Amino acid sequence: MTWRIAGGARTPVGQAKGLLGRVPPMTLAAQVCEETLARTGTRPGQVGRLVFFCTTPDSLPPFAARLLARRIGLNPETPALMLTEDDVAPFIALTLSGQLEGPLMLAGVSSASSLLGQTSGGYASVDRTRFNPDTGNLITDDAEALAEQCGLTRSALDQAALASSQAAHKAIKKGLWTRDMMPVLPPPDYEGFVHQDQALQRETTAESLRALKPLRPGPGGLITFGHLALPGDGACCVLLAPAGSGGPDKAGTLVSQAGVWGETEKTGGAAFAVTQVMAASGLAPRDVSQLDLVEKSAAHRLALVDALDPCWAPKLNKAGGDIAVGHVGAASTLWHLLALRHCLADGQAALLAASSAGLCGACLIRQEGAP
Amino acid sequence: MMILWQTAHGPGNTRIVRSDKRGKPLPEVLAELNGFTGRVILDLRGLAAATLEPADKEAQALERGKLQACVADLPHMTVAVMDGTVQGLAFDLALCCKYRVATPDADIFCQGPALGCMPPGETLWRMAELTGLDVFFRLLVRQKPLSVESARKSGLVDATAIPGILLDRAAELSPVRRKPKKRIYKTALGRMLFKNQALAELKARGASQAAVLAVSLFFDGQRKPRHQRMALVADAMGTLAASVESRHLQRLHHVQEAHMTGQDMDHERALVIMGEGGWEWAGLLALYGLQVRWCCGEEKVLADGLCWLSRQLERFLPQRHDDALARITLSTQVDHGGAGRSLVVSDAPDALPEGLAAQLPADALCVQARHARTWQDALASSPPGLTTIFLPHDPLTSRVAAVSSGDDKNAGRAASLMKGLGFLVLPTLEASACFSALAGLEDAYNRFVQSGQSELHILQSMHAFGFATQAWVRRRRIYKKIKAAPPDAAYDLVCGLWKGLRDCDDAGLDKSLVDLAVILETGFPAHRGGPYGFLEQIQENPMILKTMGLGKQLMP
Repeated sequence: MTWRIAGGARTPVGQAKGLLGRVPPMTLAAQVCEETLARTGTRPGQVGRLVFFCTTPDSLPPFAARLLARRIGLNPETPALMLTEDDVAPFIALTLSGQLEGPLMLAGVSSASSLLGQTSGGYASVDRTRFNPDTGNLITDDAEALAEQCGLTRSALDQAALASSQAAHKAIKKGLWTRDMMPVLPPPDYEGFVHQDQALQRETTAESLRALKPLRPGPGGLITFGHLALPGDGACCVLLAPAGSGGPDKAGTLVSQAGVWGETEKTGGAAFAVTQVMAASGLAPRDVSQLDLVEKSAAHRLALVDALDPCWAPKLNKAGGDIAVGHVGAASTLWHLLALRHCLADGQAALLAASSAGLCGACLIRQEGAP
Repeated sequence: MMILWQTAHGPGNTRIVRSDKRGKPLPEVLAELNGFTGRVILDLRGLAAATLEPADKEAQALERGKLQACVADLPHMTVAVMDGTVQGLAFDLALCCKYRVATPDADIFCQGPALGCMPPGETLWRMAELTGLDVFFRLLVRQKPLSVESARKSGLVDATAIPGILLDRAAELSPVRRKPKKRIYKTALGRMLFKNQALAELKARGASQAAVLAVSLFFDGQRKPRHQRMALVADAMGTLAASVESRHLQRLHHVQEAHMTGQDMDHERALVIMGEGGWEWAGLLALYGLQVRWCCGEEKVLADGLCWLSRQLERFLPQRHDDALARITLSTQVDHGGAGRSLVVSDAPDALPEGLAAQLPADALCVQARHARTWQDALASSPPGLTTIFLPHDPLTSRVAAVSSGDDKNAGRAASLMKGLGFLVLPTLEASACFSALAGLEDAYNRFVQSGQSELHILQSMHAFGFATQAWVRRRRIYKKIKAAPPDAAYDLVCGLWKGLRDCDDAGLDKSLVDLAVILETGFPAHRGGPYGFLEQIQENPMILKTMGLGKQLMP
């Protein structure tokens, strides 16, 4: 199934317990959905399906997808589903959504603020969303294991984090990440709108990264806070219209070949998804101008490069990396999708990949006609 | 109107008594139950709307007293089933049953005193017996509805059930032994203390004569037998029937019924394109359950507006604060967001931007909102086809509106919208008079404030003079304990109001409608009948003028 990106909106990414933490996650989600409907000129009744992603479901009321659908005025007959599989959830939604007559609305929200300080089942609640179900490792342990497995050094990790950060700043400067941003007015005083990513690390340098202490004490500890995309607060919504076989519907930014696979040590994280999508599309690496990875850490970034052909390295995250900005689960994947829409030229193709929750997924994005 | 009743077999060993046009009078129907040993269920759901109103005539009150006695004297186990709004005859008969079952969303009212009537028969005493003095005061003195949840706690309702199984629940209800309530008010000292307290509260509220009479009668009739109580109630009803206050209250009630009910609002999503004051419209629509998108080019206006709205809701409607704010989304773009919006409220004098108009559904209602001070100018300058809604104040505090449009269909739809939002929509003639009077009041008010008078002093003066209710003082956002203040400010304010009314041409003016509009808009106490009603009252009785010192200002 091929989809055309009709439009979308995202909130800035807020630091945990920051300004955006004051806005209830359901309100953030409703605001981005409303804004998306407004920007795309779509009536709520036209939407064919709503898929709602939340990595922090404890922060939401029961039956959140249905509640969101009713709040934004979708038809009662419109199905509304919820997925909690973090970054890969949008690929699952694309894989499972067959032929739809109306547009597919993908909305993601994450609220680290609401979970910070809470514990559940022996874990800090926010960590439950950041662990690998196969290994039981938290993100830091996972990154340490990957670094060890790939033989990464501290300086290589620092360099990768710096490259990600520089790419993010470049993307923000070009407006790739800010074009779809909608300002948020946080309660209780409503003093002013939040326009910029609150979690953005503005002064990341090689020296500042080198000065950070490893999170795991002991001789083997490599991973620092500077290497991780820290969980934050934010929401993003993308409206995908079914692309016809030709004509005007076929023009625009098209999303196709979405797939999700189980992630094992053998498959090498998101690299497996990338090779599968490339094989299915029949394209060669030279036909693809960019590879966007929803980054969890510098180790994940380097592991992907390590597992793929070296020709992919310069194409990685040209539209910006997540380490400097923060991680908001599936909403991060959605905003990468929106950013790619702005940076692809006519006829260019890109891949978007992510791995989380023991799964990896990817999809192909092509620009048909003038962007 | 005589209400006829019929019996039917109910679930198990029960008989259901319900109103039926082809039936017989209630005493006859109940007499037929002699020899029946099961349970009698009094189904009060089907009572016609007219019978829900309180008894307002002496004979009718006596008749209702007899009906109550018939039900109360039944030897069977009697269970009343109630749904929707329970008031008037339904309320009186429910109190006479031994048990009561209601749906969870029913509301219980004792409407009589608000309409200048006396609760008939033994309603007063039965109510206090069942609920205790707290709830009794709530229903009678404060004139507030009682939810089923509160009624259940107080003993007025014994069980709840959804409408589908209401009769089954009544049939299987186990008799419960009620915990006896404290009856301090039955002692001589308790009677004196509580009576004084209730009368003081009624005085502070500027309550009607009917409420004062009902409370006095309740305490005075405590130790009297039934027939004497009934006679006292009938006498009081006769007194009230002749009073001007009752006439005003009932007239206003009928005007309100005719002009403010029966309209539904069918909009679900609204677009508010406004700068200053947009928060009031956004808040009003969100409070009525609409999804609102408020667009304004200036971020500061949006932020300040939402802050104001949040504060207002926290203060006056804290239980609806989160829900209402969650319905509002903000945007600094005014040229998109129309898709799927069936209502647009704008303050721009021109038509909507073309791009936006193209996004709106074909049947979307687009209205302009304006302050009523521009009423005459705007009527003259409004382009044909543009629908304008005029309000005397902001939409969160106003209760009165007027609609102007060259297009009758649109005007009808706009009026329907405003009625759905709880407004009284005035015709052109009445709107001119009313807005002119309100402008006179506002001018006088502003003059006082500019001359250095404290706003609180003015409000206290209005209240002490009997021209403002506590609710109105609260709505003016400076609610504090109401103290007595010299009525000097009130004289001038009320004179400003009357001057405004006199300035307009009253040929063909519906004075009841203007009175109701002023009552809704300013907090003028309803039992005084609004400015026209009050003028009529004081002209009948010059002593009032003398005591109030208004002779020079008002009499020719």
